[in-house]
Amino acid sequence: MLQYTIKRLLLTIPTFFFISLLLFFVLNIAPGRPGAMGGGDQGESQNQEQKESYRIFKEQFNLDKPILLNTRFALEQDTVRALLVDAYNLEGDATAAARISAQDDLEDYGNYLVRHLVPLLEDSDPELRQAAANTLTVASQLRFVSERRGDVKAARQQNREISKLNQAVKPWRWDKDAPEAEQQAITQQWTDWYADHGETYTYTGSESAYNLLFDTRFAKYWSNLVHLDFGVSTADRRPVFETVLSKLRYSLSLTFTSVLLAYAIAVPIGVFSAIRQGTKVDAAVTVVLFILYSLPTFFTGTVLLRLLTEGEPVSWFPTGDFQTMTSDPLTTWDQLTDILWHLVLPIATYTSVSLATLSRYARAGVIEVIRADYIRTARAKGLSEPVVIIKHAVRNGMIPILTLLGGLLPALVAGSVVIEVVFNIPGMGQYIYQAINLRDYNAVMAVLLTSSFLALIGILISDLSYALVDPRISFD
Amino acid sequence: MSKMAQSGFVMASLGLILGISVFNAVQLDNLESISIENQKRIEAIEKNGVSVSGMLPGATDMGAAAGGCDQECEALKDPDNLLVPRPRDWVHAKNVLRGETLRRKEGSDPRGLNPYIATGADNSQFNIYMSDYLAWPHFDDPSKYFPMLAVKVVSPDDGLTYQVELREGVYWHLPTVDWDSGDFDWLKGEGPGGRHELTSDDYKFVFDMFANQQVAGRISSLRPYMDTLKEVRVTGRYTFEVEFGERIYTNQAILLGLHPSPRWLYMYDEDGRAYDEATWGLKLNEHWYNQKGIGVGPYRFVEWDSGVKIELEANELYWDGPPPFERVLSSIVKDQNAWPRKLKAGELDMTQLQAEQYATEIKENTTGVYLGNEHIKKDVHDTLGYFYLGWNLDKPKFADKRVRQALTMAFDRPGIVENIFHGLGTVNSGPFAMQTACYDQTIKPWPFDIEGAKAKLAEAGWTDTDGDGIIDKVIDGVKTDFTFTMLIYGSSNEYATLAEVYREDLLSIGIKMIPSAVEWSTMLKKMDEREFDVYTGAWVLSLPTDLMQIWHSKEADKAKSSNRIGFRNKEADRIAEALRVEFDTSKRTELCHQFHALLHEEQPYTFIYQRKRPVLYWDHMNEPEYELQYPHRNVRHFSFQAEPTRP
Repeated sequence: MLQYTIKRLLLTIPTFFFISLLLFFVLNIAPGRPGAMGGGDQGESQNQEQKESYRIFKEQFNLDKPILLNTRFALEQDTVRALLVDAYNLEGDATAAARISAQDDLEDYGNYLVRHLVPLLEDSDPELRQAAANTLTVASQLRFVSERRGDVKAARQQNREISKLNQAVKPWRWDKDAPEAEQQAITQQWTDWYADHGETYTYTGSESAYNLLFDTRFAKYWSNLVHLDFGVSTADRRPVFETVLSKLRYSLSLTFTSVLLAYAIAVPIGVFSAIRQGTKVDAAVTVVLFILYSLPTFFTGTVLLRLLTEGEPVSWFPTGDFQTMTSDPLTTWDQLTDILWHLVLPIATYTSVSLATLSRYARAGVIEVIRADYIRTARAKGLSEPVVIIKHAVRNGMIPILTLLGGLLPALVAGSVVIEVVFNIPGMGQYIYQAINLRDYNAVMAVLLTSSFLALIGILISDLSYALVDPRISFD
Repeated sequence: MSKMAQSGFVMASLGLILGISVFNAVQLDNLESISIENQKRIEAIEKNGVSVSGMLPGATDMGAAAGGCDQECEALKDPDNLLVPRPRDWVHAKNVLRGETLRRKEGSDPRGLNPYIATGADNSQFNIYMSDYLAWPHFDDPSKYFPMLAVKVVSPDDGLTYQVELREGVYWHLPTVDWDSGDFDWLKGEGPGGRHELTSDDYKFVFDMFANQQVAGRISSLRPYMDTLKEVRVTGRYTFEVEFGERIYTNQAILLGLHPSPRWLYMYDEDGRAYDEATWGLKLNEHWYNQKGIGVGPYRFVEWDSGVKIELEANELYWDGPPPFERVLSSIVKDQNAWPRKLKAGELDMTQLQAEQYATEIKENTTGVYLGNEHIKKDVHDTLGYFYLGWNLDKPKFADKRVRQALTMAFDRPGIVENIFHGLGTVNSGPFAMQTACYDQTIKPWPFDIEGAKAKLAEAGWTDTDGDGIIDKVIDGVKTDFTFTMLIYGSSNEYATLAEVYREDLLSIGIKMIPSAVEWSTMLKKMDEREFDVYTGAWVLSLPTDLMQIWHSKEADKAKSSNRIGFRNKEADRIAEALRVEFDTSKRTELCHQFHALLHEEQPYTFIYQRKRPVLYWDHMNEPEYELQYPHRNVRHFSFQAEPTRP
């Protein structure tokens, strides 16, 4: 058993890695990009000034890097030339789409461009020379090192030096009709500069191999992840893991109570219909449960709110929220009752859906064992019917339903998007919905990875619990 | 002991423990309530203490009421001062009920509360409560400004340099941090209770942020408006000079509409260490205080509970006297269907309604009683901004203005506004706000006229030559059918219906239009890449309106510019350039009207309508106050006239 558990735990690591790979890839190829979402029907335009800020933003979040594999060390001079021609529309025939894509590429390639751009400063075409110098001022910008971990002081010192280098080269560009002498002077500056700093921008074979795998978005993401750093939200710039934790209490109070309640109601109902299997009562219960199951939660929720909160006919419950909006401090007891009062309707909604499934499992479980030999034996011993059912049938019939609990673990944490929106509960469901809308990659990844991880653990627990409750199953 | 007795004992013990626990819990609860009561009393006493001992000379009601001529009154005597006296009292000074809580809602969490970092319109709502501008546009004539943080603004060279004199004795709010821990003593200033005074450096810092491109977020979308900024000089504790490289009319409006930003807070990390010159811009984007708010305005930031609420409290030391509300509580309610429900339950004092809700609750309501309560009043106000169809002028089909006029005439705008948008708007004909002088009221929108549209198309050479029901024309030697695709913002049912109405009308004159509903990010991409025939768009107007961004032909050649439709017109360029540098009000109006007429004739956009917004509110709130700049009830005007009537 121990050996099995260890084996399974070890298997969790590669599984988790591949899940994250898949999630990361899908998320990054979805249309839209973080940080630029205007939202609604208001446009958001970008111009030169904004573009520079957005470039810095992309750099901070590694969005300028390729997703999984980085082959930029193999860039060729002709490609760079073609990009410049398109981006600056030097031949006058580039479509808007081609220009945008070339400009984005030039921005993203960054340092990898430098060794190709410097020779282009000597090109015969003056417009291309100007474009090259212009691009160099951006492409040569070195990235700041992170001050979030490790030796902060050294990192600060390093950043000061980087900033000095970056500032120095920024003005080395010229306007279209600048005099030849000025152009040559700047070109000379670049050449001298490249002689000094060239090696920063050229890559040896081993460096290229390293960059291929590790200078990518995914690798950068994982290098943070191993430090349990889920990154900062691109929308509000808060560490996402902190936000996720703060949302947890809302979702947990809702889901945990609902699940408990669902079990408390569904199991007796299941047992009841199992004993009365095939009778009209059984049919009636089944129909009612399946109606509840089929009603979408947004509908049930809205109907409950409409009938029970607006005073038509009654207003017994608040119109949503997790607790009363007040700035007065409350005693713990008052707070608790206040929250419970607010959660009655959402819990009822959440529970109504899961009743059908759970009670079906319970019913099936009991039906399966009720014809077993040991039940007949128990009856033959002269035990009363309730004792037979509760002590022998139900206990054994509940094994499958108990193990379902493990699988519920991720659902407990993930909350429910619909219910949280309808009842205005600021939990994980609302959070991920908003994060997806804003293309907040780090936030979406954090929520999905947390629930994937819990799913893996949940499955493991449910497998192990089989062995624990059912002596017939063994992993050894 | 017998088995029976044993279990009896266990039961009794359990019962006893349970009893004691319940008793303890009740006792604890009592203790807790008592300590909360005491805490409240202490706070009340402390508060009174502060407001008595900390009363500032400038904080008397309505400034000049003290009798003598104060700084503002002296400054306004200067004939060169660009500012004018305040039109009327800020709040309805008479029947204002003080000490209540204003309950409002937000549809989502803002992305931060630093007005220069957080993007999105919602944080500006909070900063209007928390902070002030240099000057506020006059309610009746937005080209004039009255003093807020600045008492004097002089431009000796008519629009190149602005010399600003700040109001003295204005204090920043105390930052909302854990003062008791002692970790934040470094944040204390010289003023009352450790507050910092507002000085010219708080504006210098704003311009430093403009100059540092590491600072991203909202400020990067303001930068283009500041691109002619040359130098900012601090000339004294309360005075500074801003020099522009060009005389541009909008510079003044942008400058006067700036909030101050405290360097003594934003240049330091949470432990009070100053940021490095090299990376402070990057640090600012993730500053530890960005999730809290600070300002010099009437309400101070208390708490932001993400997804739940944002709470502000009265700033007792506000330079214009204590504000009407004790608290401003904004609950975050994402589900729009819940807004009227919460209003009705008394959890909100006011809310706007969605068009659908307006239709059921107000338009089709014949009783005159809204949401079943006679204390709930309605109000429908204008907004700044318009909806339009943007034609891709680079496509040969739409190059002829007669075709564009015909396409506008075939579009039943009055019917759509009435039936799809429930009458919440007015059909417009030009790029200016209808409530301003720039909009020429004599230019009526093109009529909805199917036959007229058909005639215009025929005039432009579009007829059905092959009898397939679709009109065609030979373009560049190729016979082309008139079919096109309309990009629609996909998350809106209203647009889908609108497109369907248009599709049918177009089909009746032989044009085949295919609606294509896409998600916003896809739509943005297609618009940037000019991969569209026509799209449904919306534009939010700022006053004064700048025409360069959308209409100038140099923008048409840039990738990702706002001139997405590729509008190139020499005359339009001339007017836009002239308007940019014209300072004379009547000449400006004339230029606007010329431009309006030109766009009406050219129809690069089919203007649809300018939207109205319906509001429901409890009648204990004051009557709405309108101003041109904010053609809705300005939040700073809110007060209660009577005891709340909400349940």
